[in-house]
Amino acid sequence: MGGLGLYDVADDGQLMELIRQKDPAALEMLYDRYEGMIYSFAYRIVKDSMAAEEVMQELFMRIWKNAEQYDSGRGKLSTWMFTVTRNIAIDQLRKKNSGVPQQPAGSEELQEIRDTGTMTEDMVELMMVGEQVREALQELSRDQQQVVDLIYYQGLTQQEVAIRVAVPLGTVKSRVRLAMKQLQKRLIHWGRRDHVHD
Amino acid sequence: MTEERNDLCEWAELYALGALQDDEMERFEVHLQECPECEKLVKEYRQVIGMLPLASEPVAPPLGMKKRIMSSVFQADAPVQVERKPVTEAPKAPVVEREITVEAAAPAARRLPVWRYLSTGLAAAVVVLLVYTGQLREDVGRLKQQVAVSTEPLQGLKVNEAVALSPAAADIAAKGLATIIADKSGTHLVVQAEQLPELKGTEVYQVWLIKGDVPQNAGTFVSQAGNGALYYTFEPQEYDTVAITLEPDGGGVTPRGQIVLAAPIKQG
Repeated sequence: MGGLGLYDVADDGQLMELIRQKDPAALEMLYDRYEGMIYSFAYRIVKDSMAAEEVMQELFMRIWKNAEQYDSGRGKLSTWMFTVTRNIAIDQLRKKNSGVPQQPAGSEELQEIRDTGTMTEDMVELMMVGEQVREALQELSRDQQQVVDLIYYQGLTQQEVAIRVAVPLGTVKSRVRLAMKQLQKRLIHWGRRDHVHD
Repeated sequence: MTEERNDLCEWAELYALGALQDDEMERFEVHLQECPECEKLVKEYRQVIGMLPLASEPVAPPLGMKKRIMSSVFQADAPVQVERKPVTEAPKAPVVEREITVEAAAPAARRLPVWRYLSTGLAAAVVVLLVYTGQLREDVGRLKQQVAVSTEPLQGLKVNEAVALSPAAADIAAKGLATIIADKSGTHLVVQAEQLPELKGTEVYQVWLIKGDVPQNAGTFVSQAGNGALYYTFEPQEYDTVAITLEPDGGGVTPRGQIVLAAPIKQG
């Protein structure tokens, strides 16, 4: 029995190549790798288990049908999957929340980070980074946490945040700016670890 | 111009986090092409934002989610998959791919000995029976045909729609999935539900396909440990809702009990 399958050691880029060739086992492997993280992230946005499952389904449908849209030379697969997940989840939130004007949740443009390393290293690294990010978010002031939450997890624009929080637009801008500067200072070291050319 | 540029530079954080409106985003993207500082900044911010999903508190995925998602993904794509399989596309990294392709064939290979054993057994049986009577031979032939029919994989199955069923009241924790599938033999509704409230006495769950305010009975089922499922074949017809009600017994032709789960559908 081939239990020590090459799927287990295939990195994300190799899995995507197999998925492009319509290999169902490769898609399942990818699903197994990321189910927990992506589901938790989708749930964080839509706050409902059925809705989060719909987001997951849409994501894997897109991966299966449009695997060629992912270019491993341009970014990490996990980052791309998270971006697509957020877009699907925010679109779903907006559809439900008819009072909020429609606008696409954002571009799925990839960061310039090369996809390297094997899955095991990747997963351990991702978990470590997750802990760092949680701490970094908790270190933000309450106002800063609120704007990050409204924009990133709820998909509001700066104007919508200003109305929701009842502060001038300039205040929203400065809170976002301070929050981003602080997160960057605290986390950029972890992001850099993905770079192979730096 | 310089002032405008400075103003736009102040949008870098908002842009990276996704707080700009469509028109603002377009303006900023034009600016990005001519402002290397913003370009660098946005790239760094994106790295940081790319890490935010990892901070989500871990939530346990629902039971059976993988099965549901994989089957709907593969079913939606089934005909394409069959067509594309024999095509070997120019591989980018041939060595690795070839290795993995061999591995990919492993599950099928693992099944093979069983089939080889079975068919050898059947053939031997036929030979032995041939010696005895022609009538028995005919019977075996018929049996073999039946085996072939019953083990033939489903073909041309097409998922027309899959919708998540939502609880009809706040105090119901149940959830479910309704899938409408079409194949050569007709249109089928598959309903799966879990965490259903426990049934008492003669109570059953009944599934309805509803058009306007006219419900069509799609059958009843009894849940076990909160789980239940139902399969119903029907004439293709327009329906707008699928619902599960809790009924006092299985004899109802119109809903008498409370709706437990429901979802809008586009077609029947």
